Amino acid sequence: MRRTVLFLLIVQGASFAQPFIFNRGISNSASSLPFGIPAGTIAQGSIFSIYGRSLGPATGVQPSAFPLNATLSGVSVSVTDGITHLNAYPVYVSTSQVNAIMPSNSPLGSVSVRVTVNGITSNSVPVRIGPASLGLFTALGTGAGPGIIFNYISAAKQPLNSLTTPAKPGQVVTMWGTGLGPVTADNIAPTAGNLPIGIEVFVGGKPAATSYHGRSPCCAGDDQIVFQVPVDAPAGCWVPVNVRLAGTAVSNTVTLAVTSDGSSCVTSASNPAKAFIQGGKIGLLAPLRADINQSAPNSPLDLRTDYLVARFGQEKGGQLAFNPLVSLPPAGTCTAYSGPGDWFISANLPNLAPSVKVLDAGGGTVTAGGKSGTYLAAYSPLLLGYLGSSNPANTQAGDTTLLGPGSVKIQIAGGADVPAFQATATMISPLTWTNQSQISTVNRADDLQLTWTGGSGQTIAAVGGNVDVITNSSGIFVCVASPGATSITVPALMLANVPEGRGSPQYSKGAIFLVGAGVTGTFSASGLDQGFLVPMYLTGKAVAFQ
Amino acid sequence: MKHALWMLIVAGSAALQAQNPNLNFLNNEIAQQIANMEALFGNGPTVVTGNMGPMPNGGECTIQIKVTDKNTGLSYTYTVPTVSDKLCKDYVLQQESDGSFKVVPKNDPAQSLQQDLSNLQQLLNFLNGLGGNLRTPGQTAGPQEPRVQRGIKPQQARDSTAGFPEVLQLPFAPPLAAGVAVTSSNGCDPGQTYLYFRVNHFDNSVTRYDGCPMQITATIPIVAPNPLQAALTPDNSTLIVTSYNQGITFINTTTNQVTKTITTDPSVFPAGIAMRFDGAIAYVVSLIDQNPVVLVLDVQKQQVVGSIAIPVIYPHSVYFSPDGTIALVTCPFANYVYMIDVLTSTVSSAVPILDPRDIAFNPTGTLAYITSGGYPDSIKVVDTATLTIVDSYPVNGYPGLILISRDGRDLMVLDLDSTNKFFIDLATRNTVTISTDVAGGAIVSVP
Repeated sequence: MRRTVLFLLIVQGASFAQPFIFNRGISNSASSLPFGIPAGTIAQGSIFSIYGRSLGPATGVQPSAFPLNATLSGVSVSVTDGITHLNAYPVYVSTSQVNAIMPSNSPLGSVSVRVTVNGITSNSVPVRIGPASLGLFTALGTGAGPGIIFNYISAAKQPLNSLTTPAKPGQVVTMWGTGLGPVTADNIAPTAGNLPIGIEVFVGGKPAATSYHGRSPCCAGDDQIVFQVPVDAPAGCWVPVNVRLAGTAVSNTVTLAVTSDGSSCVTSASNPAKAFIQGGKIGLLAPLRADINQSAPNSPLDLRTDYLVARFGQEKGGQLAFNPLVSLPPAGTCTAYSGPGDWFISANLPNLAPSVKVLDAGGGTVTAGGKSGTYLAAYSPLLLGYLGSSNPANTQAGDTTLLGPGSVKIQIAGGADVPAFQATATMISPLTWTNQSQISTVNRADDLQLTWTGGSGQTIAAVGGNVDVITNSSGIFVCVASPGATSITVPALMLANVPEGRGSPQYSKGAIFLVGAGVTGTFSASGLDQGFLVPMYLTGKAVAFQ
Repeated sequence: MKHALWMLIVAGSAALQAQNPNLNFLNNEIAQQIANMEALFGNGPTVVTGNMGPMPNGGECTIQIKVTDKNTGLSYTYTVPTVSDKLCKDYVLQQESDGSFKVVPKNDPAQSLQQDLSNLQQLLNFLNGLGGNLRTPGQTAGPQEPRVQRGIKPQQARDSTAGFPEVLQLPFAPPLAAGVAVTSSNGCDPGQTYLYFRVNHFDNSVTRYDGCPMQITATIPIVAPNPLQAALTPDNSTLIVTSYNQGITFINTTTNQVTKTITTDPSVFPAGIAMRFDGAIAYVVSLIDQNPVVLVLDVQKQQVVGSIAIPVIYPHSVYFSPDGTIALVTCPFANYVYMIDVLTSTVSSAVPILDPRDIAFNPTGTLAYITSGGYPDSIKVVDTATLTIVDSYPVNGYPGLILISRDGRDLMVLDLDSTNKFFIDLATRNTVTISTDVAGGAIVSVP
């Protein structure tokens, strides 16, 4: 008898482990943006995701009918600001993830969220609640890349926008998100109708006319935005789309494939993006010279560093293929990325890692100008293989840079997936960032213009952003200049989700880079389906974002 | 070169020490150490012997206490290093009729008392654990040697109805300091502002240092007895000092005057303090076994605005994550680190770690480095997202205070068992042990 009782206790203990929410483990279900990003706010009435362990049943459970209950399969979610206590409505529960609807009457500001599983309550994790903060759903589920956008052809024919089913300028599309704002009841089938908030949709920076922005009648917490692709929208496989609410709050940026006639999106054969769409084993090599102006406490510091950017990976490809490295916005436009982590250390942008697996090609040695530099293999997920540097403030260290104009010989040591091989590139001439000295502080509410000289024949991009160290959040913009242009304007729209600086390099890492890329060459190596070689030059500066 | 980013403010610097004698504390510590060593032998018969004098090799004046188990012949030795030569000259170690040992004056020491005490302070700062075989300077305790168990079986915090609270002999760890310090050896920049406050536990004061190189610019008396830790507001305008005997002191750093002293409830024994990054609130830990709490201070109003019950005995120190959303509380006697949800001021979760002492967060707050005195001594790395231990860096000593470099690449750890400091390169896992001539103290970074 006693043995039986003991057994029952053990079983019970195993079944009801303490639920635990990961710190910073709550975000908008669509955007996945972290707490430290302006759009990381959870909107009243929106669907949010809670990540952790022992949060619910081993197999995911969803409700089968309205009205939604405060408890689903023994799982409930509480929201409190210390005074007001409310229950969210779970719409998906599993051991590692719970999705729930933030009550429309949730208190604004900071609240703490807890999950209770069969009577056992988790730790609490703070989130910030706002009246509206839109997250746009994406096909890859990361908050970046192709959006969940349906091309409207007829009521019965609304295919998902993709590289093989792009939209045409002027076509009406329906985009899905969550966070347009509160409604009168969260747990019943929503009533269709526009929500009372100002909304602007931008496609490649062009404003789009909207015809609906409100809950989807099908699904609690889900919002639909119906808009017309602007007739002057740029064509491209990955045209940025984002939404601004009430003139200020900007959503995550997703992409929309746009072609003039709605036919499949095509990139040139020399564009590495084509290989990523096709899928396979792809190598990218980019000898890179970086000239960075870093503001030291007392005097500016100019650092020159040479790298070999090396990336070897196997890609899945397909009509929803996306990688920030090659899925660039159309020339003359900008896109934006935000997410958790310190991207100036890890470059851990969403979808940057190979979609199938990393390929091991070992380290490498680069020889140029009578010098050589060697790096060891590493992947994080984009390897910046350090080759050499010069620092005027530290003359004792000497000048070990090697990537001057001229030929560059690259010897890859080889690894488990890619054997040793060689490639040769020609370095490009450097750009001159002409208004660099005028930019030390960036006001995110204003457009930012960058000007340069040089770079003829190069593809020129502007990349910038900030890392909010203490919330471990990063936000960047990426702009591609039109061919032959000598300036580009970064719209405030693309600066909105760059975290604000905190006035100290200890807490913030703001920087802007102008990048020139030469004509893409190719290389062949055993173990790779395709190899691309792109000489690059970068000039950058540490700045403060306000 | 990167080690130039670090420096020590060592408590033993004789010229900077406290002024008043406190032999009672030294003698209480000796008695406590004897009790600890006897406890290791259970209740069996023991012999206690003591010696005070120069080391056999003619070195520094030292006090040694030896406890031997009569049944097995095994013994533990407690060594107090770096006692002033004058202490050996003017004082003796005397065994009392009850078998205890005390340091007593050999003759009238009045004329040299001030000098002696400055060294005694150094000694006392070293007596910061509940036990352990303390080493002479430069030596490191071998991991194979018997160690007094520092963490004890986890105990739930007791309700006040359980009797009198058991007040600890302090300082349990070196009193903590606040500010940014530099010395001429660090190549400080005369154009920068350096500011450093050192808590003097035994003379109820705070010493202020300024300049390049740093010099004493003020000694600020504290009314509340036995100050332990201090925290500065982000704008450096206010220093808050905890005093174990029921006080929290606010000091205006412009005038170096105490602006307010909060006398806490008699059941509260303020010890650890942490300031949130925005300077709006500070947490103060009550280091006690009955009804231990973390007090919530409104820094602007200089008021206690709440308290958070801690479920286990003797919470020791508290640390905010860089974004201020969580705070971690070390509970070395209960072998736990508790997590507090700052917004709701509630205990959120806990992670078991043997004898946790001090914590340093990486700059992004994703990892917490926690010094652990549980054998083998180590720095535990806790993923703050999952609250799990994801790595461990062993150290050959008793890791106490810990500081992380601003780039998050290096740790500096103060050894409570010796005068050693450990520099740990987190990427290469290389540990450099630096032997210094002084023990205890605080660690601060140089900008």
